[in-house]
Amino acid sequence: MTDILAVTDHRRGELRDVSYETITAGRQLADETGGDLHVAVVSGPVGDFAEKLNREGVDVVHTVEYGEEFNHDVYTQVVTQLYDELAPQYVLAPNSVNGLGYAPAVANALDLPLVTDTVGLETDGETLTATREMYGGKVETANELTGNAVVTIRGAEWAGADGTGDAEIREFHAEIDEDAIRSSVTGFEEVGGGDVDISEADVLVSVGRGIEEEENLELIEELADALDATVSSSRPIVDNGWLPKNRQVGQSGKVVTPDVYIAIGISGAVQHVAGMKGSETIVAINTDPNAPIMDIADYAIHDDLFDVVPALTEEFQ
Amino acid sequence: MKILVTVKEVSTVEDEFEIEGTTIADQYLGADLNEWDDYAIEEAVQLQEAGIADEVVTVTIGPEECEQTIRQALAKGADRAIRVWDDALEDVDLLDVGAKTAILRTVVEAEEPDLVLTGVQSGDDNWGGTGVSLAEELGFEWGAVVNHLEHDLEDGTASVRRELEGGVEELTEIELPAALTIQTGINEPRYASLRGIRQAQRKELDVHTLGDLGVDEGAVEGAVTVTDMYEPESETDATVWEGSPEETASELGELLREKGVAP
Amino acid sequence: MNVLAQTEVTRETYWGLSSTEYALFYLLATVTILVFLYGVYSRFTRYTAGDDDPFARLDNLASRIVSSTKIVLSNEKQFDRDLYGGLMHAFIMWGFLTLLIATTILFIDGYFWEPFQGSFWVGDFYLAYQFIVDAMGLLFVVGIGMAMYRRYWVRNERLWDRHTSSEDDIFIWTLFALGVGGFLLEGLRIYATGMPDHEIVSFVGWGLALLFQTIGLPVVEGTATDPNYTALGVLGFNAETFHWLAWWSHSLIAFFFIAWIPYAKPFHMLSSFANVVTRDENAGKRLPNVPADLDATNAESIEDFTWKEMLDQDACTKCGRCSSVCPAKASGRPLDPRNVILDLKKYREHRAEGGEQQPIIADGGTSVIDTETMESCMACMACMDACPVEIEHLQSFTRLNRQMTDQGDVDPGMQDVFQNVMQNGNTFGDSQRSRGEWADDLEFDVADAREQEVDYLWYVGDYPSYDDRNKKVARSLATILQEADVSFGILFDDEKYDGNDIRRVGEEFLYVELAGHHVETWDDCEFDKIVCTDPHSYNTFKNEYPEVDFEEFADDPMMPFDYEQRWNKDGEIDVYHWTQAVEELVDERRLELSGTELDYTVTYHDPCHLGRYNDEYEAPREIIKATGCELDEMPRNRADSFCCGGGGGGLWMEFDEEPKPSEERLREALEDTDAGSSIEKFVVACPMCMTMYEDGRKTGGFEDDIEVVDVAELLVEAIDAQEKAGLKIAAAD
Ligand SMILES: Cc1cc2nc3c(=O)[nH]c(=O)nc-3n(C[C@H](O)[C@H](O)[C@H](O)COP(=O)(O)OP(=O)(O)OC[C@H]3O[C@@H](n4cnc5c(N)ncnc54)[C@H](O)[C@@H]3O)c2cc1C
Ligand code: SF4
Ligand code: SF4
Repeated sequence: MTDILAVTDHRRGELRDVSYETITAGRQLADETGGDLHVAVVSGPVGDFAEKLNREGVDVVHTVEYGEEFNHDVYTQVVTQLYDELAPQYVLAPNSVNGLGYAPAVANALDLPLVTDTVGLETDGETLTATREMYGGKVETANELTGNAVVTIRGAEWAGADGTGDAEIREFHAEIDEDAIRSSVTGFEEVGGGDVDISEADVLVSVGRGIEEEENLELIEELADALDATVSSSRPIVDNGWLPKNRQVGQSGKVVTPDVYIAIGISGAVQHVAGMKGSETIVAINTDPNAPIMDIADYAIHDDLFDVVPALTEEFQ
Repeated sequence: MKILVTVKEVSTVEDEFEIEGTTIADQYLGADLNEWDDYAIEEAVQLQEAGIADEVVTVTIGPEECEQTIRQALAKGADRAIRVWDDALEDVDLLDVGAKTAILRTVVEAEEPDLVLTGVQSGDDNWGGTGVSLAEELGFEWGAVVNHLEHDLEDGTASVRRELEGGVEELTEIELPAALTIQTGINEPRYASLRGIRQAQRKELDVHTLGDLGVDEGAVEGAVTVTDMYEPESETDATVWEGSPEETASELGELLREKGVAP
Repeated sequence: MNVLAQTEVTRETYWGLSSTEYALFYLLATVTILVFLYGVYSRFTRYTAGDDDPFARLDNLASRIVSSTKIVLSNEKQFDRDLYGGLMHAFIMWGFLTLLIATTILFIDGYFWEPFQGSFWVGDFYLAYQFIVDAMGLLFVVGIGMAMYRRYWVRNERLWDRHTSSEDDIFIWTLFALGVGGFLLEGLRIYATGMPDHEIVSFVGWGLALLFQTIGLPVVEGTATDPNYTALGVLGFNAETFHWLAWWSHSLIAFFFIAWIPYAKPFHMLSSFANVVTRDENAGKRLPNVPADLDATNAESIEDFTWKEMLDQDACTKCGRCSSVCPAKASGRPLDPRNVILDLKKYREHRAEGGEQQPIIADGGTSVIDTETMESCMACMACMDACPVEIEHLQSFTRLNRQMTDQGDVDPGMQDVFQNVMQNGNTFGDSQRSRGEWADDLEFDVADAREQEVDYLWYVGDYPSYDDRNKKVARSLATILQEADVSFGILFDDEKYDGNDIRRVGEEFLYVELAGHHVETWDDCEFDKIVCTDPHSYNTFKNEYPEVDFEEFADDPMMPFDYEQRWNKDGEIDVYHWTQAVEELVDERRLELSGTELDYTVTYHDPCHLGRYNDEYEAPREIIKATGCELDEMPRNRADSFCCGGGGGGLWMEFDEEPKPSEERLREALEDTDAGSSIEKFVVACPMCMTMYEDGRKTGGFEDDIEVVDVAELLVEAIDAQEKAGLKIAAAD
């Protein structure tokens, strides 16, 4: 009753980073409850995966062989059965697109409370306090619950587990009800290709909703020209059709690591930060000094982009 | 075919605000139709215009004040709306995924839609779990984070694209009945004109209490409670440049030259 | 037939016709007139089947007809911007009218006069008649020649587009044939009747007769004096036969032409005149209201168009003047105002012939008009100003825009603006609480007009309140009013967006809500005059708010205002653009100004909403001159001004433009004015123009060449009050 079950994520033969982060979060909770950390990996080359998941602090890795890729029906069934088998206190899953595809279903099937997108977790063995963000990161809230729960954790909030552990690797024979699998993945497609590869750029001038109107993009383009840099953006700019998909930085766009990333009128939502936090130097230009982007910025200008950007362009002409 | 769309009125916060207890003080809050739901409504209405759906019904959990937002959805083309509210909900400070599932399930059972569309998440508290949880509860199939839906549901399956991380999309076939959580960018939401909103006043908007729906008051209390709200401590160790735009721009210019990345 | 009194000079109209031919002629004439009347009748029944027009168009009919006749006869509209076109049209029209009158005189003489008291078409009258007809007929032919030269030789661009068709060719060639044929006929008659001396007054015909004489065209002896002569009796290679042929072809062409009038382009002779008669003097600047009735449709089908809008379509002569002045077309936006009018016409005719139904306006090429086309319109009214036949493009265009809004087909940028207005009350989506913050940097306080009585209630406007560049204009103006010692106040957070442009983009009910809020607020304040910074606000307060029927919305829960009268019905409240108010102050010497303070060379851009919309051209110019600046005019000035690109929602939408209107105007200022590149400042009098030109200055690379300033900024500099306005840090600093 004090154990933790952490479910991992992989795609097209690769474990995703968030899997190791889930392990770290799981280990932390297990330390607090005094229980064991069970890790589960479902579908794909589970044997190989299990080896990799055997990081410091992992007690058991459960492998479930079934198909190659993620299927939410399979994951829901497997995790429910693992829960019945292991009776852990908390089930952890990544707050990834796939995590959100089964964690709520598991919680509902097991009649457990669900807390998603947590950025901090703490338990005294009885009460779990989960920290979440609201209003695009403007505030944080403490959320409490007692008893068992399903929790999804936000990527990059915990460090990835490393080292090698001495976990036992166990095959778990789940009984999959094929009739209950009513969805099938028929393929994958890379989107957002095209002429420009923003992940290759040394300097990115990245623009967000603060630009207000499409025609104002000219300001950004001029700056990029003056700096000999590349233009990228946050998602809403792409959703609006103002820039092509291949310019989008973030979780559902490109991951970029330029020497300098200049975030202009971007609030710094998690899904955006996921794509640019590895940049060597981050500069934020934003009127809101409390915008979450400030947390990861190395340099900041708390001012109106419509004043700063032209001045900066001027500087280089 | 009938489509049920869940619609939420979200709160928006001004740049400067104050916290009172576990909420933000009222005067700094605004209200808006949840961005993701806007796309879900548009998708449903387009299916109706394509002759695939016969009826589009919206369902909202919220007090009377949010009818303005519901009318926006009606103005965009939904046929009628259902609003659920109850004194018992007045006191619940966080309606968690389980509680929403319990309420919405009764509505779905009464309406018997073939397709339920929800937004991926709501813009204010981004729980992102209701659609999938509801589907599981109902025995519906589901798809999370859908950014494309083929407008051909003939053979009882929905062909969708799910937007994964890193610019990858997953092509998936989903059997109906199903709940899909709709991602932004799937379409171009239309505008709800004031004429449309005024016209929407004539559309049916049924209000149900928990009692009407047969939902137990205990079920909505939720297992999760919010005990604190605060502005995150700025972890920033950023160097903040101050001064006129010219001054700050020249500081930045300096940095870029130092890094050798600018002319 | 008619035996002539040989004593007085005259001529035989039906010379050489047999009685059978004469009867045939009358039969044809009758048929022609019937076909003509039927055509006109069916046109007009179509108009009466159209929806009622929201405006009175047939009131004071007599004076309408008088003023329209003046407009039409003077050809003033045709001369506007185009001397050649004016001359050409005047020649043709005056020639045609003269020939028409001449024929009518003959008709009256032949049927009502001659049978009873003998013809009056004899003697001196006859001679004068012949002379005038020849002279005007010559002008007519010259006009036609000019038209043909322009159409076929120069191939004037505006005459050729997708609606140019064979009817245009047939029209011009028929007129040509009538004019030239008439002269040939005359020449042959004079020649064949032995060139009577008095006929020299018909100088063109005489000249042709001389020509026939020179080439020695054979004549049959005695036909001129034989009362029983018929051309059929002498058929052969002779002048009589040619005359006979010319006579018949001339008559047949004339019959064809008359019968054809109601069915094609020549109908403009009637429809255009009718259109001028039924014009609305306030068209464009005061848009029609929409019924509060929720089921009323705007442009769901062609049936929604009013009779006047249909008449507009029929009155169009395809001259292309509207398109040639349209800034949207000039900048490559997908709009051609003529084509919109004619596409609607074509679709209407297509439906009348049982053609398939199409949506009137939609996205993606399935509709009569594309949404992109209407998004492009800047509502600048240049087209209406240029149209010689008073077509009211903006009435139809607004109908289309309203339909787009009803359908939800609204550009995302525009949607945001609507949403901002709906939720916050301003186009910026900023908090209304911060609306008055622009005044914080002033050295004095601005009164709250809700709390104290003022002379001038100043409506600051969205851009001057929220946009940093325009805040400087607001502060300049505040300081000017303060220095002139007038009592003025503003509404702070009770001032919302004025609604002018969203009305033009089609969001009518949101407009009504805003108007209701303002009139309700004003009702609770004590003031004499309303002064606006923005010509757009000025236009809608002055021309449109008084026409909104607030009572219709009294019970509407979505219309939160509590106001049921007509606002300012009798005009007891004066509405001013600030330049008008300040011009008065300058005249009254309320500002310290010697007229030598500044010595910049500047040019001035007439904002559409101040100039073309409201005919105010001089007030801003007077103020500029009063500062001592040298004002050098733009080539396209006053009513010919060219929109900055910001009107009609252009400020909030993105277009592929080449060249951008703002860049084009700045270029015009620096290249085409007399002072050329020595123009230092580009002076504007509208916050939207300011925004567009500041942008054009950057994107067009004009930053080092020219500055964009508001008239108020010049004036505040001239009275040396920039510090007070918080525009300049005190020199002691
Ligand atoms: C499943 C999923 C995947 C997603 N994937 C991505 C992704 O890959 N990439 C991504 O970017 N987003 C993604 N998002 C969306 C993300 O949650 C945010 O909505 C988005 O990143 C916000 O973009 P933004 O910062 O441009 O806009 P906002 O959050 O609206 O921020 C605008 C910022 O501009 C500032 N500002 C406004 N005016 C000015 C001015 N004049 N001068 C200076 N600053 C100004 C404001 O203070 C504000 O901070 C995803 C969401 C979901 C649910
Ligand atoms: S109003 Fe102006 S932009 Fe619109 S069609 Fe007429 S000339 Fe063109
Ligand atoms: S609308 Fe007027 S200006 Fe335009 S082509 Fe027709 S007649 Fe000419």
